[in-house]
Amino acid sequence: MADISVNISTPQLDAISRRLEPSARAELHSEIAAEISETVRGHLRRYALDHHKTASKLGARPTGNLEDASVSATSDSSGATVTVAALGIRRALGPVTIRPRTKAALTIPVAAIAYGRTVAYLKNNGFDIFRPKGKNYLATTEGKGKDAKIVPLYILAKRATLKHEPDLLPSQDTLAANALEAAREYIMEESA
Amino acid sequence: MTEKELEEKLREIARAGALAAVRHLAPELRPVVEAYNAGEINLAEARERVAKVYEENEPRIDLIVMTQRRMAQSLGQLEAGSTPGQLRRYPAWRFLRVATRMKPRRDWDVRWAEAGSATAWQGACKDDFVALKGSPIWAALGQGAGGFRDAIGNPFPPFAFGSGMGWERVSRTEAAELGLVDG
Repeated sequence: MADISVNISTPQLDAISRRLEPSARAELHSEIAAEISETVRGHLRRYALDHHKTASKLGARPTGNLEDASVSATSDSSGATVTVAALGIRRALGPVTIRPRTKAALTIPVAAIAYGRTVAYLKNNGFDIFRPKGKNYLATTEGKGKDAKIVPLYILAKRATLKHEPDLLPSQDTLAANALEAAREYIMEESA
Repeated sequence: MTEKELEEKLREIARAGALAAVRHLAPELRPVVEAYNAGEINLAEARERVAKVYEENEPRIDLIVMTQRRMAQSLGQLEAGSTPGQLRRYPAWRFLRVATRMKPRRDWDVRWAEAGSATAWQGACKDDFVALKGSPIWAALGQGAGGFRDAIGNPFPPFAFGSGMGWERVSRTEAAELGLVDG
């Protein structure tokens, strides 16, 4: 599963951080990490609920890869890192080209039943899957005898490029503003 | 309860949840893991046996994996939402749909009412699925107050198998408007 790290560093945050003792700095970074984690998690869920294009088009159940992305944070006196792990998350940074790692081709689902499911999963569940002669897809059959028809399940591809999705993560401005707000809150509480 | 005690309590729930997640491994997989840990089988054999178990129980294990994934997500949220600053700025959770489902449950209002009644609505709204992070309503919801047998037992989402409902943080301003905290 791919992951990316979110780094927030602004002159204002750095200035606040530098003025603190190491223990207080660690607390500040912990607060910022928590704030950014929640900002990213909420954003991913809203994004996912609004972007189920492929699943909707196929009439399939969404995979839930983004709603349940793993968002984890680490922090200490030197800084904070929030890591987001989810299939396809690297699209947030730019286009991503994927190639098969262990198989001869990628299998791109074109039927609801295939969406979010592997060929092995369908075979284990009783689907007879085959590659029609001269065709570039995997299919199964529906019906019997002369009523039988071939139903394409997956297109086979040597590679696929996922387009850049800059809105997949909150904007840098939003992250920086929320981090600054968390820092201000921390300083105000500590000096109260 | 002081803010410090609340923070400790929420962290304790998160830790207990992480242990529960391990304990909820599919029962069929436990003997394989135990045999491997005891050195009775090597990794290759363990893999083969896991694959066989998986093949035989795929839909059920899929549901368990999905539920575990949601639990891990909520534990991360609980942990991040329990820092002193987050508790001050976002003292409550809103319970809402965070993932689409082909057949979503339609009875969450009934479950909420039952859980609220069971806990005398301590720190919880009657008219909105919003409650303080330390409200006992979350545990009651997870225990299936009212007799819901698909409840998982967690005081954090998912409260039922396969559920697409989760938490969103609620600001102090909104929590004050709802009468949950002083403004």
